[in-house]
Amino acid sequence: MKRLLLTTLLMCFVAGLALAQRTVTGTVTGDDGETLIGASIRVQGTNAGAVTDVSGKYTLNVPAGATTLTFAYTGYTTQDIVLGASNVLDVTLVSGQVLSEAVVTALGITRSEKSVGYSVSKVEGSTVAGSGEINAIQGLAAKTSGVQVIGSGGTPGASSKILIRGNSSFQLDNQPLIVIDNVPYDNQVNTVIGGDYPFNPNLQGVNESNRAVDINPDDIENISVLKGPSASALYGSRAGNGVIFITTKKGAKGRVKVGYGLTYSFDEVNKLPELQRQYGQGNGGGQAIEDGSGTVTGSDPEGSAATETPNSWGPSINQSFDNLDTYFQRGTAITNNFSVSGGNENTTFRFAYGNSNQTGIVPNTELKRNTFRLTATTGVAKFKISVSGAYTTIQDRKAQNGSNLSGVMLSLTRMPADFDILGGNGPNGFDNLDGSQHVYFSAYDNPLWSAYHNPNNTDLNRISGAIGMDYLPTDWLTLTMRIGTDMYGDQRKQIWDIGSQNFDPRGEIWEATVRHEEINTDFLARIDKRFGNFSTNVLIGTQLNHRTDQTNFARGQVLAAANYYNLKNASIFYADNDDKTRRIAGAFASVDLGYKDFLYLTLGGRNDWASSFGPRAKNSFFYPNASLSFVPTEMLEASQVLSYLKFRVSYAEAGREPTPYTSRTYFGRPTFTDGFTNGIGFPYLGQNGFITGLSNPNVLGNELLSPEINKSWEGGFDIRLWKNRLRAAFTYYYSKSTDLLMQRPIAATSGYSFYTSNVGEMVNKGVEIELDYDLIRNNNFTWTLGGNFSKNENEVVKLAPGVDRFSIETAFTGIGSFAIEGQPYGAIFGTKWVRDDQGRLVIGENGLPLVSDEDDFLGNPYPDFTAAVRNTFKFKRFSLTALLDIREGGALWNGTYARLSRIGRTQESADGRSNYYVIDGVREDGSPNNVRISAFDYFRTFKGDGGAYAVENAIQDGSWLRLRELTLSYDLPHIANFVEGVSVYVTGRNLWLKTDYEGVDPETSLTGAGSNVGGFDYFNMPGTRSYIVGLRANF
Amino acid sequence: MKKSISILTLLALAFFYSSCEKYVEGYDISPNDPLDVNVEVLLTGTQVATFSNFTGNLARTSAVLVNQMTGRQFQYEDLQEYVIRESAIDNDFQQLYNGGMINAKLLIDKAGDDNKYYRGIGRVLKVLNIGLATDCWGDVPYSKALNGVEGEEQFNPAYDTQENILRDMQAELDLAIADFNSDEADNIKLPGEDDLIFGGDPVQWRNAARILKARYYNRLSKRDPQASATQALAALDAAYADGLSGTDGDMMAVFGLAANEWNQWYAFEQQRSGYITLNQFFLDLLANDPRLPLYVTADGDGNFTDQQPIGTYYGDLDSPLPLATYYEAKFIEAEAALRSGDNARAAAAYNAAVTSNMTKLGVADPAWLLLNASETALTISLEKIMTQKYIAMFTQPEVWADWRRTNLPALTPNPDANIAGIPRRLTTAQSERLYNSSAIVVANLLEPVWWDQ
Repeated sequence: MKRLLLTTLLMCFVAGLALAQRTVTGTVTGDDGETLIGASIRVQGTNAGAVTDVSGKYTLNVPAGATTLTFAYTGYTTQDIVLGASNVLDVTLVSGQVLSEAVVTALGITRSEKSVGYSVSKVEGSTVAGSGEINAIQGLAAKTSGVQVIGSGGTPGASSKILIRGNSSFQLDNQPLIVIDNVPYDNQVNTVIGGDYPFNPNLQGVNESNRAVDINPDDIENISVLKGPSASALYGSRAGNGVIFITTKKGAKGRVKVGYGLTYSFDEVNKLPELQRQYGQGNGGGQAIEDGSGTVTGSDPEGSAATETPNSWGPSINQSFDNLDTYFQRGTAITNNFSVSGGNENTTFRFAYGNSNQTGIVPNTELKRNTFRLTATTGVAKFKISVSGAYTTIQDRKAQNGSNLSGVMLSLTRMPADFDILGGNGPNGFDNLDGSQHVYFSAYDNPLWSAYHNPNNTDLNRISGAIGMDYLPTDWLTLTMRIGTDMYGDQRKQIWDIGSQNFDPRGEIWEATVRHEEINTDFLARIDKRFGNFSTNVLIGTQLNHRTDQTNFARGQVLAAANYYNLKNASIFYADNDDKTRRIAGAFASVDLGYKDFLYLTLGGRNDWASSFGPRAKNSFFYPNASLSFVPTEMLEASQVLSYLKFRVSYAEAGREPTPYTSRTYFGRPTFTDGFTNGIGFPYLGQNGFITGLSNPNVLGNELLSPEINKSWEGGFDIRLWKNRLRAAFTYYYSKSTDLLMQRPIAATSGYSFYTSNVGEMVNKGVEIELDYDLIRNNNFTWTLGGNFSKNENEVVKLAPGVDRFSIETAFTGIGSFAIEGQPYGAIFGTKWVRDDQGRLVIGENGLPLVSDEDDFLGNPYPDFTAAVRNTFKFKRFSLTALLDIREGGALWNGTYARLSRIGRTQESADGRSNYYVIDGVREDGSPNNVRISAFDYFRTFKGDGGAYAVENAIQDGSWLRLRELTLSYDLPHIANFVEGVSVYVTGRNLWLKTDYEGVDPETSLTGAGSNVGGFDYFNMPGTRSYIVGLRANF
Repeated sequence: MKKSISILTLLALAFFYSSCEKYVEGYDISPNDPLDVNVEVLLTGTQVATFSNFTGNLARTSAVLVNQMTGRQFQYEDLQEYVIRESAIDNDFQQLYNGGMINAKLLIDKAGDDNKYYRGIGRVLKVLNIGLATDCWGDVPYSKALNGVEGEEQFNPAYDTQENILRDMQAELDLAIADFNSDEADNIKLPGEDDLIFGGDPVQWRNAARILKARYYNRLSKRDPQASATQALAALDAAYADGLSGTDGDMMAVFGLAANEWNQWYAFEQQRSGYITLNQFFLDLLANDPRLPLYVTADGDGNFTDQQPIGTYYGDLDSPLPLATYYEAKFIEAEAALRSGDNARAAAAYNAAVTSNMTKLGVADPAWLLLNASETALTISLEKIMTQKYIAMFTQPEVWADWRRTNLPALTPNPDANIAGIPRRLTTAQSERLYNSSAIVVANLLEPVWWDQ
């Protein structure tokens, strides 16, 4: 109600301002006689404008005093026409040859596209927001080439990882730097856990957020994806993986405009493993039946019922429960966006407020986001001041995930079909009258109980933005000073209620404060001058960057009273704090030289000083870059076929500094564990204890670290044909990372398990193709086909001396994510079946394949290629967009499937429970295998992870073909003078998914965006399919 | 003029350069972790590491392999089938070196001549850890190990023969005893509450060192039956002469009520419920034994079945777990005396061993002892000694070593296992195979270690 009132008030306000003085109408046609649809008409000196409709006609309210209209259309020369007495103005535009689009490059400097010697992809904010994703990073999925977005699950706030041109580093962050309006924007994943937790926290806990979730996608005007080091060189050591440069919407000169958007969406689970409902909890099912002569003739599907077992090898059951259906609910999200913008000759502004309110598919999960953003510029004399800032609040509640005894999917999918998740005699069904939880196996929480009793809460406040001043002493010199900051405080609370299994069953409360503070200062001098045929563009600048990350963690254990979640309720306490500060000072220069608008050369370099080098190492490093652009169409006669052609080639180096505090060997307060328990640690019986090399892992420092270096080549061309109807770009790149910084594993017998060092070499090479084609462009109907294709090949060329493989991050025993010489980075590594020289399985006497003694390469979690096809149809006021997303290859370790096979939960383990199996392969003597094995052995070991199994059996292809987005929108006809436009739309996301993957949606990641491990699925949260209805109105 | 401009420019550049240097200076040392620590916290750290190594996965693995426990779920189901992967025991191997040995070595170095008691404790802890490593893996890095801090050329330590390792362990224990024999006044710092095991008592420490000497002399019973017996008895005699007489001197791993202090059998049962239960063979041995209800948790009907987990005596939140005890000393004495032909001493030591164990557990039922701990020179046998030791030493990895030496008590290997026989060693750890170019990789679990040959 309040919202409605506000909107109405604003409408009246706007209507009052926009009193039209005269109305001009007309038709815009091209020089070939075709009417032009969507040509823009602007009233010079104001913000008033219109767009031609499907018959090329326009109607424009021209404010009093205006004299000139500007007519523009892509691929045609823009014309300014002075208004005469007539209110009818028909215009013919001449098809132009050069289309000089502006490109936002590093440091937000806008350059003409012709002059840029490397590829920059531009993504319109509307396509990101149009996806309906709350997380702007996820909204980038399939939108441009060279970019891979990996979601981690369909729960509110779950992180999305973004990679540009693959992984370039072994252990540093491989994600690009995010910059919003020239200020670096933190996109970390903050996983909060006590310093005494001995394992990789990425393997369990909740699906943490990447902090770009704090961005309101609706504030984004467009995104420049600076893909290679050439594009991002001026950002220095932080931008070796590219830059996502976000430009937010700005106000424009003219009347005040008000925008309002509303979306309402439903999420539902889109894919789950196929689980059986024929056999109940128990043991003994699927054992071999032998005839009199000892030949196996089948298996006895009937087992005996048992409680206190996770196994579903029990007897066949009469009554079964669809617990997954009971569990997952329909998620909803409501998003409101409101903005007001405007400006005059000297000043522009835009203020926007957005709020999103999402509830998840998992009960009791939610995310609430409020964003406020203000951008304003004002100019007086030779000074221009600009301000851009945002305030975000997020409150969310997440559920337990992954390898976690309280994890939702772990307990839910293993749940025997004869167990009713709501069968307890307590008030909620998932509990008992005595207040305990209703469980089928005491080691696992009931997942419903867990959702309500083990919540993880975030309460985050974030301020980011910058104040900048430009001083223009002459027309060719601009001096800029800008100071930006990005700060947030994230108050976390994790409750492990009394009775919860994952930690102390007597109950735990974790209270943590995460603080991030970044201050970034830029000084820039730009010279822009022409000398005859030559243009020069010189940039000199410095940048100071300070970043602090701080976590204060407190834990109370052994809760006295139920339903009371304050640390005061605990009797055993633990606390620790962690502070990390790093500083980088950079100095850079770049010179662009242009000759006659068709040849451009850029030479640049940057020197960085970083705080994290060791006492004996050099803390300063320099890296150069160069690029060349050649536009032959600028030299040639205008052609009806070839509208534009540009060749580009570039080379750049980028250096990266070490992670803070890795150059020395520290003592650490340890936690000792064998991997089965959470271990023993300090304070211990009132005593403190320390050991060398920290703990988990034990790391030996290195005082002589040098920067990690990435050298990259890139070449390609942009071409436009038939008056820009077909637009294509092709890029090939080759990049080599050397002196990679990592905690290289060493033999523990040296005293330490890891050694911080510069080792190895890794290569990424690939091609990117982008294509847009206006297939049909006529009065009532347009059809534009767009597409992108990316192929990245990664190879770990060299590792440390004497080391040809190592684990990127600690994972599970028996399965890891490795760097292996000659294989792609992140290779899935584990046990394999033994094969003969013809590749056939070698079967042992027990009828099961033999397992190799040593672990080996199992698969590449990164795709062979990705592609997207976007079809946009416009018919009169309707428009339909379909985005098809293709991923070929990309292996996943489906640990979920292996475990569910082992315990007899998969549908196939029930369907085949009375059969016998002969595994295709040969005996050790080379004869064909004919040993019959029971269903139990087959599913438990050959398909599952029981007995002498090989992890290889759980490696599955993660290829997919999905209809990522389908949107139908309708622009309402003219309503009233003060209404500029209203459109309504419906969008479906993931409406269709085709994949061979036997589990949840293969767009999944156990470890999320905070980890370099990819391709793990171990009881991951499922993905979602979404239906969105929305409304956009501008006044 | 031009010259002065260029000088000014140079000066400005130099100033700028030094400002950038200054801006980043002073942020390279972590405020979160110390670069150096005192011996007190290093001692406690190393002791807790040793507790973890002796009471964690290796202890449970030993118990499953000797049929005291049965592996029933997941990784322990694999273990029950004698599938021991190179990655599955990697943690345990690494912790012996990274948690135990390197810090014991640092403790020895840091304590130095000025803090002999600390140094002595460091030496005993070092022996405990290397002893467990060589018992499980045979030849392992030792004399060239733990020098990684000196540079990359030390990253691939050579393997020492088990024979040499055992010899050096005896020498290290002699040095430890010498350290504990020093006067209190020869120590600047004296261990106290930071010594979780003996609260800094040098007498208890040197007797514990003597029990370990006896343990590792006796380990050579297959290699040199006579000398191993003589030396073991000599070590024990020195301990008895120094006052070792009862359970006061037992070296125990101690635990607490907070989750990070929990007894690891308890923690395992909390987090991995159902993974291991008692083995029927062990239950049969314990029939009519007063220790049965201490070793096994009764089911709802009060029965002690092979579906039940460990009992609360060794498996409660804060139950202490033995590392080296008086009753072990007596069992070693019994075995060594028997081997050297002194049956009377063997019988007496055996009776004392069993009685001491029952007394410690608080179940010294005179009637039961009369039946089971009243051996004489005529009735004593190795089988009786090793069977009672097998029962008394429950939860300790020593049981597996004893069984490998003596094949007692006679155990039936799991017939459904992957290999024909109970493993006699662990497979080489994955990290050694991958990262130590000097590693001697052994994957055959039936290949005996040197003292088992």
